[in-house]
Amino acid sequence: MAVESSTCTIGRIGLATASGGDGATTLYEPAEITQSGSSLSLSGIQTESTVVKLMWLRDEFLGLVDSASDPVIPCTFASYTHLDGFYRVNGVNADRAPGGLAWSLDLTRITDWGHPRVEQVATYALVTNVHSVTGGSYVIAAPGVADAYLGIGTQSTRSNADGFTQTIGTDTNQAGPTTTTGYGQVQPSNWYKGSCRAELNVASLGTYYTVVGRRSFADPVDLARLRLQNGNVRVSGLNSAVSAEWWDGSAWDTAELVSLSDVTFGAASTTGFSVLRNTPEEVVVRIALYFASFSNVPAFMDVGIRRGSRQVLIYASGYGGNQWRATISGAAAYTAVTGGIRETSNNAAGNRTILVSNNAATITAASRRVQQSTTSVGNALFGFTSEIAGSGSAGVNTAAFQQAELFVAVAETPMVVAL
Amino acid sequence: MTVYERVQTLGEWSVQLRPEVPKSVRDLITPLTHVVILPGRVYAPRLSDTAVLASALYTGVVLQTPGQSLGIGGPGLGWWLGDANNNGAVLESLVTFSAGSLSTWVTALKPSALAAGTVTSPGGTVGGAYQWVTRRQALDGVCGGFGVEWQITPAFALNVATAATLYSTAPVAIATATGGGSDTALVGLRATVDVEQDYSEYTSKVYVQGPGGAGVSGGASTYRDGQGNLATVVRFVDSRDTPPGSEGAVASDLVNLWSSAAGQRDIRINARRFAITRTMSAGKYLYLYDPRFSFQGTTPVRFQGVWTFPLAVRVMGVRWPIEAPMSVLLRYYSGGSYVYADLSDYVAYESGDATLEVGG
Repeated sequence: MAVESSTCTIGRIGLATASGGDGATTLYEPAEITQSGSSLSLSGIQTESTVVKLMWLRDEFLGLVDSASDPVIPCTFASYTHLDGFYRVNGVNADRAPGGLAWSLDLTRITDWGHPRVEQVATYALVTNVHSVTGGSYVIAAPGVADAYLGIGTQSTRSNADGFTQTIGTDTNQAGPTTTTGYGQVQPSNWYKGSCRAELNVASLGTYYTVVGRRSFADPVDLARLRLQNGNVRVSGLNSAVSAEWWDGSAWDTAELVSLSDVTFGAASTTGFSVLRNTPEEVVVRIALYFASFSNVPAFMDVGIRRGSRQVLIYASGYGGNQWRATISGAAAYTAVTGGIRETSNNAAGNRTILVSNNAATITAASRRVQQSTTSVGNALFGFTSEIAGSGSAGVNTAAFQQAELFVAVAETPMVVAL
Repeated sequence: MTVYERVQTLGEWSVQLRPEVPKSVRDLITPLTHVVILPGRVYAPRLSDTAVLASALYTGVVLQTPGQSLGIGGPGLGWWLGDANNNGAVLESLVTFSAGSLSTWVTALKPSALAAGTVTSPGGTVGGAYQWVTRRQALDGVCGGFGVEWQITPAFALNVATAATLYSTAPVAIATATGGGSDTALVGLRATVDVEQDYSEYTSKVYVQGPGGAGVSGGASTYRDGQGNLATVVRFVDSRDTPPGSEGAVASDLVNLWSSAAGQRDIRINARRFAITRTMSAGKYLYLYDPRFSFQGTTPVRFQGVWTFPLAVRVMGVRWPIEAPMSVLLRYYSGGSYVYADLSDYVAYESGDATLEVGG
């Protein structure tokens, strides 16, 4: 069976690593393209070296239909560049066929498809806390690499591991509630740069593949293969702990580990996990936990990252009776700060690790931990981040700014609209 | 094949029986018997009347008995307070108190067909006189005077209290276009939301004329007319059920409703969940979140791993399908007590979304 030799990208599929994709797939252009008005139907055959790779690709295609996760996707074609643009996914089919993977997509081209306007609606407000914090800070990054951008807050920049300087909007001492809108225009090929993504190191392939859409994974083994990243922070080693590396502008620095546990019941065991949100601006996975010494009562740990932010948000919830504790591994000395702890001196990478919480009132810097005072406090939110360049940092990179990020809740909804 | 429940109204239910229903069972379905719906199949003869009613999702009055089409139906238990045409439970004798407490009024107005429930008064007294109106009309008037609501449980108990006491103002569920999963504290409903915003009923000032006098509340609106003036949109309400002295309070409640943005919205939420009223019954509060269409509030709530800013809205009505394997039981009087016939084997069950009516 003949296959196309020119390549294309459908959402994250076929996208290079530096553009926010996994770089693991070279996706060939569709064999058939049917266009009628704003409707576009594509179908093609993809061949790969292994069945496992084909099946993973199948899952990526099927995930495209989760429009609630990614309302529009960018598509680019090497030899049909007039079709490059943003599309809504109406239907998708992908399954094994003689010679490879047969896939087909029904798309609707949005108005001004090639270069539409992105409305970035964000609402933020102070998080209820026990530390008397009355205002916090936020980072709301531009979508992708924006050609033109009227953002939210004070514009700043941050180096991103996707190989570009990311535009971010920031502000401090914010209590809200405030709803505000930013505007920008983004080329389809630049949409996923600096975006959040969940990646799975597929066992027999030895390389990371992007998870498309929201999915559940029942096997805890997959949890060890999961990685979240946004070009600012990279999270792996997930179980009831979180290992995070931060991009320092030229390299990923040595990982720091924070462990979640219950003061009474100790460390939790994990079962499966679900990708709850998988959009360019935010990725969250929910890890199912249980404590064997607590009658196997289920609990959950949500781990999330937001575009442009270095902070890893860890949200622990249970059905009552938990007293949550987060502890940083290692032997470094820590100092108490508002809501948590900060590494006392620059570490070997020149950074200072920070751990804060909204309602964990017991802060024990000497033990590198913050914990809830009682079991009745409720669910716990922890922020785990790094002060890149430590004592030499400035602006949005300082410890004060980043620890205050935890105290502002941000909900961001992008809408791609016509000019 | 649905049940419709709405706060302080009769509601309705209907069940389609299959042709296999024996005549001996059909003959038991007589007027004013009751249909009781439970979330799962039960062996009713083993259970007491109290146990069945305590676990019921719904109890309705049979008014449509099976004909050739084998459809049966009727209203909810509110029918025992008076029907939709204000017939039935008519007060044939005068009920009057010059300054009656809530419990005094409820005791006097409760029909013998209903059981005494919990009456929680916000305090104060209301005066009035009722005759030749239904008990429901009278109860509506008294409740309006006290600022409370009435509710009838599937076990026939008439409860009267503030909405906050009856239903709690803390939402237990959240409806989102992308949801469906649940958190430890909130049930997620994957929902489609139909919203109409129609200001044809908008009112900024209300006059209420009751039997004891008139009350007024409100004034100029926040909207301008074509000449730059703040428009005053007046509505006159002739309410024979408003207790004397409560006209001003009723006018204030009405103008608050009719002048608010929420009062102009007709929101219908279609959500898929078995026996949805176990989670979200008429009267309860629901979080609604769809920031694309400005359905959002101001308080952050953590849900499904992210921050949301949901709007707390009150679900006033719920229409839900009678789905397998719910039990559909007929409660009838025999031999000096209430017994049950199980109709479940003969019910043509349906499936589909429940519809939640918000506000109004």
